[in-house]
Amino acid sequence: MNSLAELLPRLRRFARALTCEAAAGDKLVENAIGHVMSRRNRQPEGVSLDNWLLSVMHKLFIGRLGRERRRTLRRKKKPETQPGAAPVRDTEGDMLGMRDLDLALFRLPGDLRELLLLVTIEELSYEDTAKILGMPTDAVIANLSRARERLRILLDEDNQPAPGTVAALSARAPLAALAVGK
Amino acid sequence: VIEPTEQDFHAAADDQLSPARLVEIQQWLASHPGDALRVSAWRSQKEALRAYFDPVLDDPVPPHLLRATEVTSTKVPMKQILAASACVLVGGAIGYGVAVASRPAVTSTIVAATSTRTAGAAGAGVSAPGASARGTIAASLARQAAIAHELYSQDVRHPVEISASDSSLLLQWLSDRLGQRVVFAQLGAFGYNLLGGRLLPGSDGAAAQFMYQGPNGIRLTLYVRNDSATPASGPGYTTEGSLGVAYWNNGALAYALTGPVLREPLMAMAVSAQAELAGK
Repeated sequence: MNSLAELLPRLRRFARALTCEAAAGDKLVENAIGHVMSRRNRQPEGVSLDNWLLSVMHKLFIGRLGRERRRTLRRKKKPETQPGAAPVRDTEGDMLGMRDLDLALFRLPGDLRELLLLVTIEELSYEDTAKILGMPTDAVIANLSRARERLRILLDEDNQPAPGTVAALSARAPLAALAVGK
Repeated sequence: VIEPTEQDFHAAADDQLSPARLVEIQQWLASHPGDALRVSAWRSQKEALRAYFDPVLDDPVPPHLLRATEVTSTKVPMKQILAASACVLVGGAIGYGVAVASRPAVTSTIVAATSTRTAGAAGAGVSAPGASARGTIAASLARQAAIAHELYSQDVRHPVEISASDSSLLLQWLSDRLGQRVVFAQLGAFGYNLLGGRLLPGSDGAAAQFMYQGPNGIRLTLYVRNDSATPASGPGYTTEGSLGVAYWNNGALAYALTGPVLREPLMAMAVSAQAELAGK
C-alpha cells in the first residue's frame, strides 16, 4: 500500500480545496483512506487507486453536504447561498481574513466546487470526472460552464483585479475562523 | 472548420484537445474574440487555483494520515513484530525454493509487506509492557496468522500448495510436518469452501494454513501451529489492520481463523470449527 501513502499530498490538496479548511480536509482524507483500507481487496475493476479514492471522497463529501443542509434547515436559517453550498455562516467577521479565491470557492455550491476542482486541480479527463460523479459527460460539461462562470462572477464581486494576481497568495496562509461544519 | 462545442472550449482551457482539433479550435478562437476571452479567463482561473492550492503538496503529511495507510495494527511489542517478520521472510525464501513454478513476485511482496509493517510499528512506537504472557502469545499468533493470510490470500495463481481435491495428501503431509494429526474444519455451512493448504514456518516450528473461499471471492485462512504450553481456551477475537482474527487452543494446537469479515460471523465460524475439531 505504499502507493496509497504516496497519494496523500495530492489527496490533501484536493480535500483542502474542497472543504475550504485544512482540518476538515484532513478528516475527509482520513475517512476515505479508512474506507479504502477496509476494502482494499475489492478495488473496482478498471479503476485506478487514485480515482477510486476520489470517488470515495465524493461520496463522503456528498453525505456531508446532505447533513449540513439538513442542519441548516433545522436551525430555520434561510440559506443565503445555493443548495449544496458550504454551511452558511454569519459572514462579515469570519470572512475578513479569507483570501479572495478561497472565499469565492467557498461560496460556490458544493457540487460545482467539487466538479471544478476535479477538472482543474486534479486535471482529470471529463470522462473520468463523469464516472466519479456518476453523471453523463454532457452534464459534466454543462456544470463546468456554470461553475467557471459563477466563480468568475464571484471573483469580480470581490473586486479581484485579475485572476493572475490571486496566484501570489498561498493556501498555507492562516485562515480566519472559517471552520466549515462542526 | 467544424463549429466548436462547449466541450471544445473547456478542453482548450484544460489542454485536453487532440492535436488536430487543437489546431482547428485555435483557428476558430483567432477569429472569435469573445470565445477566446472566455477560454483564456478559464485558463487563468485554473492556473490561479493550482497556484493557490499546490503549496499543500509540500506540506508535511500528518503522521496519523500516514499511519492510516499502514496495514498493521500497533498493539504488539517490537520484538515480536520483528520475529514474525523474520519468520515470514524465511517462509518466503523456503516457499520460493520449494515451489515448482518460480514466484519472484511473491518474494518481493513479502519483503515490501514486511518492511512496511516494521516501519509502521516503529513509527507508532507503541508497546504493551503490561500484557500477560498468554495475551502476548495470542497476539503473536494473531499477527503471524494475519501476515500469512495477507501474503497468500491475495495470491491469484498459487493461493495454496496442495488443493482441496488432494485433501488426504494435504492432511497427511501437514500432519507429518507438525508432528501431530492436523485436520481442517468444514465451513461450508457458512458458505466457505476449502481451496487447499500450505506449510509455513512458525516461531515454534512448522505451521499449517488452510484457505477457504466464500461469497464474492472473500478468502478466510485457518492457521494452525503447535502450542502445548497454552491450555485449551477460546475462541478469542482480535483485529490486525482490517482483518478479523478468531483464535483458540485445544491444548496441543493453536488455531487462528483470519479474514476480512466482521466479528460476529467470524466468531460464529470459530465456535463451530472449535467444536468440530475437538471431536476429531
